[in-house]
Amino acid sequence: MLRPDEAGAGLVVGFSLFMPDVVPDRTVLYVSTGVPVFNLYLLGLVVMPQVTGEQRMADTYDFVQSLPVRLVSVNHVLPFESMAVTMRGSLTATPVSGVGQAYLMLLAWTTGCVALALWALGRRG
Amino acid sequence: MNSWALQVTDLRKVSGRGAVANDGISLRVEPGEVYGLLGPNGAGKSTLVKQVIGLLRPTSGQIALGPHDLVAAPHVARQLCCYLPQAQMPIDALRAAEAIELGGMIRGADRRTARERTRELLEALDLGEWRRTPGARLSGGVRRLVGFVMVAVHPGRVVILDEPTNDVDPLRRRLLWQQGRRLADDGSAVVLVTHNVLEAEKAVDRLAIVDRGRTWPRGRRRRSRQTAGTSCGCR
Repeated sequence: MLRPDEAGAGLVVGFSLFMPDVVPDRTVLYVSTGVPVFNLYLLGLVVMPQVTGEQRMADTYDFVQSLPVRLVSVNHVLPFESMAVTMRGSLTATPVSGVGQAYLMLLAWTTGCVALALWALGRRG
Repeated sequence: MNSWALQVTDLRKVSGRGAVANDGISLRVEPGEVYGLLGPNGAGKSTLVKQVIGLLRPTSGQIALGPHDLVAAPHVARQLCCYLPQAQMPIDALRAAEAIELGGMIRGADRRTARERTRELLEALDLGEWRRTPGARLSGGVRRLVGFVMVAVHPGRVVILDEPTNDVDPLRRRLLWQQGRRLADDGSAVVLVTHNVLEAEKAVDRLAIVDRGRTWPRGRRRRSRQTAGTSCGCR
């Protein structure tokens, strides 16, 4: 599978080959930087929970979780682990703990993001 | 009594659906000893160790390591306990030696010490030829041994090995037990989780038999051979 960083680098180089002498500078800037960043963001939202979910199902995540990482508690408030838990809960027949809490966390993030988007739109008038 | 003993008291874990994984387990592991948790598949051994290292929260009961309450402060368990899980380590993208050094440095070893210890352990386990091999190309047994070295390179107060010899050949299995013993001699409390009676017989000082979420009469090796035979082998 293509790694996100490889995909990002490919986009930056590849798009410039498609449009050698077009468009205003601002568009070029957006295509070469904004689009890859946006794509990486979306890719990350899909890939990270998927990889985490796979590792949890295979129990390899246990080792990673058992490491003494200082910021491990941050992971509990970011949405990725909750995404992985809900994905795992929907894919496996075995009971998965913390699904309700994961949905609550995702609901909180969704609400926050919608509020942030509305606020940003409001500022634009 | 040593102050850095691992003390589990009346530990109980009930899943969300009401299944009892651990039902009042109590045990004590002293530094310098290899303690076996022996029992059939699904007996509750892995659930027990996951609670010790803070991956699962017990329904009730206490887990203490020296002065620390590991239930109240699971982040302390991550600093003081090293854990080799049943599953293979996620080291596909790293060479064996790199994965081990990285594991040591994450646990607090400086680069130089981690490198020296890596070389020493790879030689001790006769793994030198795979030192620069990417994890994705390692065989199951070698990968398992590399996982063990990742844990042993900078061990904590407690080292928990969950079925460490799965897929490992008999010769290196013996080398692994020797290194497990050495970890205990260096002051760690080593918990060896296994369903293999022979392994428990050869490698541990004391053991508890776990079955259906409970611990059964335990003792030193010679006595437990008989107990293990009746409790696990003949079930």
